[in-house]
Amino acid sequence: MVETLDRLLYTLLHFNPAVAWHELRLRMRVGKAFVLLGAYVLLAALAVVLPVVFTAWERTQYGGGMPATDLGRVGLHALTYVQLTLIFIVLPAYAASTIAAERERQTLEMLRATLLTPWDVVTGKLLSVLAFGVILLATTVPVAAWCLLLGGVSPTEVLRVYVILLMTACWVSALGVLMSAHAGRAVAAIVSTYGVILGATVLSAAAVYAFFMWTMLSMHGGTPILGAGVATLAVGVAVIATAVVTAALVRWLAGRVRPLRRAAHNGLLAVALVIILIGVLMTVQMPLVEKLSTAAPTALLLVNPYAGAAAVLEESAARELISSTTPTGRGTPAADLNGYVCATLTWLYLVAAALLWIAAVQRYARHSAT
Amino acid sequence: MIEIRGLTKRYGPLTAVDNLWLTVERGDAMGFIGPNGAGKTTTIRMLATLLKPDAGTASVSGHDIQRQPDEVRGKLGYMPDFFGVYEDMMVWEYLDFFAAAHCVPRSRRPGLISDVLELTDLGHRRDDSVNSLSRGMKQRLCLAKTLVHDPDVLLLDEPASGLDPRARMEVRELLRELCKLEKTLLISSHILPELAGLCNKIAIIENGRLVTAGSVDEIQSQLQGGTKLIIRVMDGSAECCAHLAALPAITQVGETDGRIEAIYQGAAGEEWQVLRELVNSGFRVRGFTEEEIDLEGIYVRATRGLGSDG
Ligand SMILES: Nc1ncnc2c1ncn2[C@@H]1O[C@H](COP(=O)(O)OP(=O)(O)O)[C@@H](O)[C@H]1O
Ligand SMILES: [Mg+2]
Repeated sequence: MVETLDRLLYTLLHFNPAVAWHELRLRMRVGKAFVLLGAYVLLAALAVVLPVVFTAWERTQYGGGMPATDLGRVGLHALTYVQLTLIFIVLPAYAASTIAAERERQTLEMLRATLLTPWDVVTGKLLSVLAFGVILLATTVPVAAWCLLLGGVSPTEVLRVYVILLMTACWVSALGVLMSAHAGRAVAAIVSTYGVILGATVLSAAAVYAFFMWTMLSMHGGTPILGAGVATLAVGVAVIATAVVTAALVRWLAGRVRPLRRAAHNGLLAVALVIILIGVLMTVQMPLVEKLSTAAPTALLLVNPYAGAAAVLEESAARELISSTTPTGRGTPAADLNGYVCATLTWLYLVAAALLWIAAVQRYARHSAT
Repeated sequence: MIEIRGLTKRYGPLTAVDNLWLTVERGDAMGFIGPNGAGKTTTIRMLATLLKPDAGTASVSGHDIQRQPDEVRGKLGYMPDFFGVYEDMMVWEYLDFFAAAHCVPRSRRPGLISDVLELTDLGHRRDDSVNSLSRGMKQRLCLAKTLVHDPDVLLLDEPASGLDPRARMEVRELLRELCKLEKTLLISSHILPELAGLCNKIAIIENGRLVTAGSVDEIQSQLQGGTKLIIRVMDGSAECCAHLAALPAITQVGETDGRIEAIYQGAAGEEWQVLRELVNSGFRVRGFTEEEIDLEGIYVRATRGLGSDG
């Protein structure tokens, strides 16, 4: 049966699943994996129980007989954000150590001398990381079911949350494997993956801020405001500081900065400079800025995973996100705003994961060709 | 069979392998000898398609290493000089993985795995953790994984290095078995006696250049053209040495604890004349024997005489 599967994968996709099977076999055996799983469920459950209990207690104290039918919503929100955070903590460490650790432990040479192609190796590693991600998510399904029982949320909403979490796991894993294909040491790969995720979150938060400033300025009728410009400059400085600190951390841990990390570093600096430039323009040349597309800076909002999750969960957040990213004049795209956001983000994350995956295969192939 | 045609690899200003030409015939076991840093590993990694040559090329079983790397990898078993093993893995799983990596179908793997386990004498450790194996056993396991897809050509980079004498013996025994297997072998080592008696061909490399290559006998006569005489005298061995050194047929003389070693390069079969000369000169000769020059002697002479000028 499995042999047929192997052969099918090979003939149809030219994929040799040896690495995928091998990784799964290895990873699932280690006791650490189960300790991690246990800790994960415990944290997720705790994160749900505490706010639910607190809200319930608060209501009995001050609510004055308010119906407690939407406690499930409180729980689901907590579960979503906590799981998102846990995915960002667990999966990069797991994914980034795959290829780099083999390089470090001198097992990669022998792997490269086999008939396995870069596509086999990278895809196999990615699939094993994803499988672990799916297992992590599956363990919290009972907690989600409990939220459903508490009321206030529909099964569709729970399903959407899990779809978004799964898609996030996809791109985080692909990013980790890319860094792993690139780095010489596992710890460097892990730190760079954390760095990129942190960078993306901080950058998009900066964009959110910029959008906020933008709307505020528009309400002022387009006159330059010194305070807004200065605050934007401050954001730029904060972004640069993040970039510098991340780069320093990577350099300290990895011994030296490799070209890609330097590129990521430079990219971060460039974005920061653009933000500063916008800040300067806002302060001195408002009419010119107004002519630029309103959609461009706010599109970055989509990069922030927390903003995305919020828009999937709450209608008001979805409305905000859609109105800020769709050019004015087009009507509301769908009656179900959360569903629309969920579909868009799924598509976006999948594209991101696919691109990172292809980059990882290429990076591994090039690393091997020297 | 391996054909190396002008293989060159540079690392910045250093030329690690310099225009290397070498052929290993089908069924040959070639010892690839050179001191540390000679370029053995670099050559082997180029043959294993893991490193791109800067110039020249090579073919393994008729497949070009640059244009047909996949065919080459299919025909090749490569054992690196340094390697790690996966943790938390059983011996058979380890071999199963490498068989799978060489596209061996599942149904054929158990048979192949028990074959190589038997050959490497690891059958009784089949279900043990790879990590629990001793250094020598790991080395044998690595050889087993090198064989698991039944390659035609084996590239073994220092297979016996870093082992204790006992494990070294075991690996040597295994290599001897491998040499009987109708496979083409290239075994590298920086210690020449390690390969003595194992290989039928020797290639000596230094500073990335081929010093000499050929069958063990050929190299012996090519470099030597003479025999080593072991002489013992009752007394006056110092004077005896001086006397010997003065003879035109003797090119080299050394003495340790009364044992005189002299390299004779005169006419073959005329060594007795040396004995007559000594006796006539009044030395009381106690022993006069001829000794086969060992590979180490060849190696030292080859690398001293030819390698150091380049
Ligand atoms: N990746 C590398 N970068 C720079 N120099 C290298 C590299 N690999 C090997 N060398 C140099 O090439 C020479 C040959 O090395 P190697 O092939 O490993 O020798 P051997 O295996 O015979 O001991 C050595 O001088 C070594 O320092
Ligand atoms: Mg070496």
